[in-house]
Formats: sequence, structure tokens, C-alpha cells
Amino acid sequence: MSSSKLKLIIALLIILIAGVGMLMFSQQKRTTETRASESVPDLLSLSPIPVSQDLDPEEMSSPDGKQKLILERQQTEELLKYSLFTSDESESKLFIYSKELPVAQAISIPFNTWSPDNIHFFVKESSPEKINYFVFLASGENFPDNVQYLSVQELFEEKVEGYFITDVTGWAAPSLLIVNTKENEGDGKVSFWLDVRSQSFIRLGTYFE
Amino acid sequence: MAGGSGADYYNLPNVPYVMYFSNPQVPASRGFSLHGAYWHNNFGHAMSHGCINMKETDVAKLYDWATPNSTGTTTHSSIDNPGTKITISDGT
Repeated sequence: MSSSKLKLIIALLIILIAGVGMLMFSQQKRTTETRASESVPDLLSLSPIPVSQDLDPEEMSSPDGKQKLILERQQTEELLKYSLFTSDESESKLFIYSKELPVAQAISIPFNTWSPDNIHFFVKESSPEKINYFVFLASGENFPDNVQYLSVQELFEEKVEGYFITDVTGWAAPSLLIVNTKENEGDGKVSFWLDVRSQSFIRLGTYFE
Repeated sequence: MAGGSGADYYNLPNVPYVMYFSNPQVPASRGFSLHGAYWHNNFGHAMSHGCINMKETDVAKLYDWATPNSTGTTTHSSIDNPGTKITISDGT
């Protein structure tokens, strides 16, 4: 056998050994990856978790049909950010108020949110422990004493004793919000009007079911 | 629209989209109707002694849909222009 043929055979053997070695190495690597993928969640098949997500907004038209109250909701991992806007027929949005709450709490727009004169609206904030209602001016302006909103619960606790609020159903008149209550001790039910102009409560003889 | 007496007296001008209804048990003279209510926004709760109050934007759509087709300020149903049948439930 000539030396050139011997060199060729040696070269072919080296290539063969190297090829078999690479094949075995890659097989071992694939097996390791497979084991690894069995021991951790398959991240590729899970939906990506966004930093924040916009949820469908709530809307309610004013009695004259010329304005809308819009509640936008943006969810992060632990909080929901609520933003209130009003819009007129031009569809341009006016920012009113924003608040972040834990996911167990919520702000919502009641069906009777708008005052009959289209000037005020109220929203409901609920949590497992308590419910509160807030009255705003649709224009985005503050109330005369320079507060941005009226907290019905705070005003009621400040001005009326012996009752707790069970519901705020709507508006009896342009400035009169209907507040249903129960006795703290007993089962008696009493409705009040909250006059949002004077920020005073008027006790009624009739209970609004 | 006016009615009631004493503490229940009311006089509300320019009530919009009034649609009276009646049957043999409730004569038209009682004056019950579906109509718009501009003076309150407490719908879904009792606010009347028999009428059905609606948001003006909602009642306008119903008024356009229902019959008799309006032919003027006041239109009574007739054989040629019949009224829409109304079924009232007590909610139970």
C-alpha cells in the first residue's frame, strides 16, 4: 500500500470518528434539553403576561343624550386603575378623575348615574367590606368648597346618626340624590335626599324601594 | 300632566312622548301611560302611581316604533291605525 493511500485511509478514519463523535454529542445534548423541558413549565405554550391590560370601558349616556360618562379600566398584576371621563357630541374626552384599587375593589357606573339636568353624576365604589358613592360635576370643575367630589358616605356619617347607607338608587330631582338607609339598631328603613348643592340630607316619609 | 291631591299633587308640563294604555279593567280615564320623565333619573324604582317613566332617549325610540302612527298632536288608535299591544307584568 502506498503512503498516499495510507494517508487517505487515515484521513477518512479521522473524519468518520469525528462524525460519530459529533453525532453522539448532539444526541446527548438533545436528551438533556428534553429532560430540562420536562422539569420546568413549557413557557412557550403559556400566554405572555402583559405589564398592563386595558379592559372594556363602561359608558352611560346622559338623559339628554348629549354627553357620555366613560369609565376606563387598566389592569396591572395587583391593581386596577380606573379613569373617569365625560365626552360631549364632539367625542372629545374630558378627564375627570383617576384612582387605583386592589382587584377586590371596584368602581362602577350605576344605571341612574346622571342627574336629570345632566350636570352631576355619581359612581359606586365597592369592596367586600363597604360600599361608597361619589358625586362629581360632569364639567370637571370642583364643588364650591373646592373639593373634587362629594363622598356620600363621609357626608352621611358626619350629618346623620343612627342609620347606615344600603343603596343610592338615583336622582329624585336635578340636585337630589336618593339615599336608602337602614337603622343601625333595628330593621327600620328610611330614604333620604342628599341635596348636592347644600350638601345636606333631607329625611323622607316614603321609602324608595 | 297633572294629578294626585294633597301631598301627592303633581303638575309637570311638557311631558314628552306620552303613550296612553288601557284595557277593560283599567279605563283610559285613569290616564296611565308610558312617557318620558325629565324631572328625575331613578328608573327601575317606583316613581309613579301607575305610569311607566322612561329616559327620554329610550322613550323616543319606543314612540317611533310603537303604533298608532302619530298623525298630529293627539292620535287615537283605530281599526286602520291600531295600537301596539302592551303586556304588563308585576315582576313575579
